[in-house]
Amino acid sequence: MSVNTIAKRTFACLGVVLSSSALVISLTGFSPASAWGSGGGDGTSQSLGVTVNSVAKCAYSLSGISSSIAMTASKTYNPDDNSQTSLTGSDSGIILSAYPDGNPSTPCSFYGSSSAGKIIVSVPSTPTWSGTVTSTTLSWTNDNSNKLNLVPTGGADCTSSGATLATLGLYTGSVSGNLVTITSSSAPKACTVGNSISSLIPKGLNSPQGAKTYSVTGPTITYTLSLS
Amino acid sequence: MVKKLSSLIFISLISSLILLPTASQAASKGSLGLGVDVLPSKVGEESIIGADGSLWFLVLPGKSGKRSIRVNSVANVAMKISINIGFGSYRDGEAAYDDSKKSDVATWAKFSESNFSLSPGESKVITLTFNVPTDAAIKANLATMFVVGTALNQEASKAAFSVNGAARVAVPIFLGVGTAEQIAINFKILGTSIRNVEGKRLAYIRIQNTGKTPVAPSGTIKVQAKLGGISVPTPIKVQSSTVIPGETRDVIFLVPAYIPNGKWTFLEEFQQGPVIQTSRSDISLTKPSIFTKANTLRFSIVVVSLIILYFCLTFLRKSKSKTENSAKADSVELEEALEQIRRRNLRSQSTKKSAAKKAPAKKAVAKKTPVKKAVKKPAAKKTPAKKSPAKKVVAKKKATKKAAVKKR
Repeated sequence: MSVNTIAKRTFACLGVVLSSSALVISLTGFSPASAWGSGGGDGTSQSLGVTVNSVAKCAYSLSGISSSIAMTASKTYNPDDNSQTSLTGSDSGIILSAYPDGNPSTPCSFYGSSSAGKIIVSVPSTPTWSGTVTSTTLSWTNDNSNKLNLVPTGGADCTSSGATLATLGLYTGSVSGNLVTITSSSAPKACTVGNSISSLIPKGLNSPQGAKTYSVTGPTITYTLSLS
Repeated sequence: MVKKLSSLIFISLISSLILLPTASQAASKGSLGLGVDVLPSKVGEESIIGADGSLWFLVLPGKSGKRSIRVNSVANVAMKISINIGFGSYRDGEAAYDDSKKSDVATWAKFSESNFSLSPGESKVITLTFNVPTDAAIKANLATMFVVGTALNQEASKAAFSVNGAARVAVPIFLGVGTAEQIAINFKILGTSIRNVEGKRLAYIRIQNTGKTPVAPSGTIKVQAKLGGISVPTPIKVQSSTVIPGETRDVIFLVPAYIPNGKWTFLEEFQQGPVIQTSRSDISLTKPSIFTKANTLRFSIVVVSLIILYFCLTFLRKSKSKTENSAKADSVELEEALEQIRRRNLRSQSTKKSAAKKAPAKKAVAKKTPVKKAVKKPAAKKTPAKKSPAKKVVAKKKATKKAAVKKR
């Protein structure tokens, strides 16, 4: 038997296994119209046959924000090099969740209102980068030409509102942007988002102390959970 | 004793040297997290508006309004917490804030504590009091309470380039200066409809805020049969999300499964503070369609799986019959080969026997001198080489023929 035939037979066997399992899963999960399931309607998770209650004002919480994000330079910064150097970093695992005190078995009052909780990201109105070595400072302004960019990466139940997985350029004059909102209206308990952050060191920026290692800190990125 | 002490000091020094950088690294790489909970109003914190989960106040000029909030740390590092009042507004029917603007009522607000630290998992209850001046104008004010959390030892990061993170929760504040009559609380129940969505019966009760304060009324729905006097014993309890003045919002809930299909009447009663609104809606509950998104997806998966299964099984069957045929052919070939070997053996045995009969004396000599055989064998092999000149002759003949043709 040739190798080609063996490979084909293996694929066929694999196809049999996969399609059979898909058949079993899809047939066992088939729900007739009269069965309501346990998921409830949009925003509910109660088991049915009982009174539909809702928890007044289940609050949201925001967690998983890195206290400090290290940015990696695309190349070693050289003050004599008259070109731009890009900086990259990421903050993953930001969680927007229904408040732990809220009862997860009943829907929250923001049932059907996906805008009840959203994360907005912002930087100060005068965002700068600055670092100091022996009383000399290396600094530059975070402006339109070298802005701090954020690309949100939403989870299954999260989407970016107003900036759907696009770059949010945070600089003076455009200091905030909606990062994400929970889109799942079915018992929104939690959704996780991440974002990749990038910026540029402006070209021709000569450090007063030469090629010494500066510890340069950029503008503080504030993740605001906005409740309605 | 001195030796023991010195060794202990040495060990503790080494361990502190090892542990210290790890602790600072952990602090710099820690994650921040906040939760803010507006607590139900206590004695002395009564809210005329009647919204326990919101920072809504209705205060007369010269008086004060108080509410308690709980700030919770969901971080894994110690956090520095600061609370302040900022600008608030409504944008597209939703509460919004603006960092670039200042709130008019910020100076009226007083927190029991506005700067404190929280260790991981810790929570703290803070009171917010609005002291409204006697000369304050009768009007509805909007503001935002900001609770900001940053790492307590944020400067621990030693990376060449870094940005710091901060977690913040923005809670909208409504501060009505005046009485309930002056700052009217009112809403209307516009109507009720039933929609079958994804195999579920959902009820939509539309509420419009016709007052000057935000509302989030809670309600009860008594269900009774349209004809006959049968009624469902337990009323359905629902809670609306916030509806700002002038806006309309649906209170959506799932119709319980124990209410059978048919014609029913919903007796709705919603309450917001002192305002109670009732409505009566005749609705018709029908069996939802089986063609839900999930069922359509499942059906298509079943069809695709069946097709794949059919093709795979057909291929496997074909390949099996092919291999069986080839195995049979192989066994026939093997048998033929064995037969040929047997025949050769028989021939060789018969030739040996005949040779032995002709010259039995030579056998012993031949056995004793195997070298001669070895010498003879290459000679035998050489014989086919003699055939090659013959082939060459044929080739030569062909060449001469071709030459003759060319000459012609």
